[in-house]
Amino acid sequence: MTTEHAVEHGIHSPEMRVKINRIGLWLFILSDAFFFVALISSRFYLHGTYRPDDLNQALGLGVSIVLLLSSLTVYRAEVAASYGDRAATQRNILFTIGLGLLFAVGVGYEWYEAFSHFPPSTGFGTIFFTLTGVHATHVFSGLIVLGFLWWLNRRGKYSSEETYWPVEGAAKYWHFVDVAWVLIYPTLYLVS
Amino acid sequence: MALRKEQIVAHKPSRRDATLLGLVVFGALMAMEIMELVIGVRITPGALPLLVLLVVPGAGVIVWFFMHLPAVWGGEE
Repeated sequence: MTTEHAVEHGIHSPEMRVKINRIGLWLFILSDAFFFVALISSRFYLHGTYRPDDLNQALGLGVSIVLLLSSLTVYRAEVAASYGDRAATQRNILFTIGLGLLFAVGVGYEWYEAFSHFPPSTGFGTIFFTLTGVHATHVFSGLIVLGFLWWLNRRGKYSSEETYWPVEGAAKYWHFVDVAWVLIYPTLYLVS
Repeated sequence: MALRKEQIVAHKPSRRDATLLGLVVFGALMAMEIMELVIGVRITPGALPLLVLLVVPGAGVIVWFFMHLPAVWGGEE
């Protein structure tokens, strides 16, 4: 297929690029999801439904609510971007970053407590630190992406509904981080 | 075959509807999260099947409404 043919048939059109980007991101998310599924499976394989009594349930629920709230703010950022509302996009991205940082602080505190109750050398500790650690890396990479997005948006990069794909992509990734936590939270804190 | 613009933004409702949808989904997720906690803490043995019944639709709701899964094939939510 020649380039002219491709352009003529819309393969290189902006609309098709967005479509291809979407599929690419979904494939990435799917491959990353398999990784989380493997880790969650290892929890059940190694420890069945055992749950230590020292888990801080209030903190677990608190960080879950914070992450769910961040999903709402990033969704609002995406909606605002799709309507070319730069100020609301900016504001909601900032809220999301703040909530993401709050989540990270919560998990950090949980780690501080976990080190004394079930350190990484114990069976449950291994699972706990691996799952929350891998998830925290995703949170941090999401925060970097959102920070970059905030900076670019501030410069007017995504000011119209035609150019908001990066906001949509970052929001999708952030929602995926949320979905992963929705699965990890009961796996670690609630199953017994 | 070029895609029509409305196919790319197929998931785009009015701004008010989109905001409302976000709030409804968030409310549902919060309710699920609290129900999960109650089940996990109160029903100590045998909570797993009930948790699965809550967690899977919860994750599905995020994927469907927040991540706009139907937009991959150009459909509506």
